[in-house]
Amino acid sequence: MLLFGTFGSEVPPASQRADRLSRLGVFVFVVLVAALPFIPGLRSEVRASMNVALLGLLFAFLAWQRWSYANGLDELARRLYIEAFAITYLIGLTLFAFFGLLHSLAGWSVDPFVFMVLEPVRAVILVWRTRQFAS
Amino acid sequence: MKNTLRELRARRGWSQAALADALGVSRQTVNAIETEKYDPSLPLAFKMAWVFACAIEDIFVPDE
Repeated sequence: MLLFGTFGSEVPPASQRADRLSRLGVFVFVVLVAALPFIPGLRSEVRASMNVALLGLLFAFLAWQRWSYANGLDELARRLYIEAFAITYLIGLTLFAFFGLLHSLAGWSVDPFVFMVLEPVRAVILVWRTRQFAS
Repeated sequence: MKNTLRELRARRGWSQAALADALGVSRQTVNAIETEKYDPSLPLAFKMAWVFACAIEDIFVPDE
């Protein structure tokens, strides 16, 4: 329920498949990134670029699987799942604007990884909205 | 939107889970519709009418 938008253990088969493919994608990414240092003759700049490219590919693949996951849910679960993303997106935009303002006014810099906090925020929003429909 | 889903289901002796299986949705969705916290989509409403062999208007009553 926290991450996947279902009320309990009733994850539909299509969504389960998307979950499995997501885990497989992460596993393949880890293996490829771990294997890069062992490729002979690969310069460090090229290896760094390949790491970034692989990370981009991973996020694109995970986004595609999240879309497939959402499409496999029933209509209410899908609505709540997408709603949580939309609200989290708005919160992220607000934070982004706020940190941009801090930077321009006071020169403060914020590590982009701070935005990783948005994922647990999305989970909380999903749980909150789901509980409003659950009995 | 008010509905008579719970009565229709009880008349047939179906559990929420059984109805959910018949409709292809989760039990929680059926519960949310019965407790009037959620209005189903048109395709789902038509499916309900087909499952109960009645008209949509026999299941859902618009709020006055």
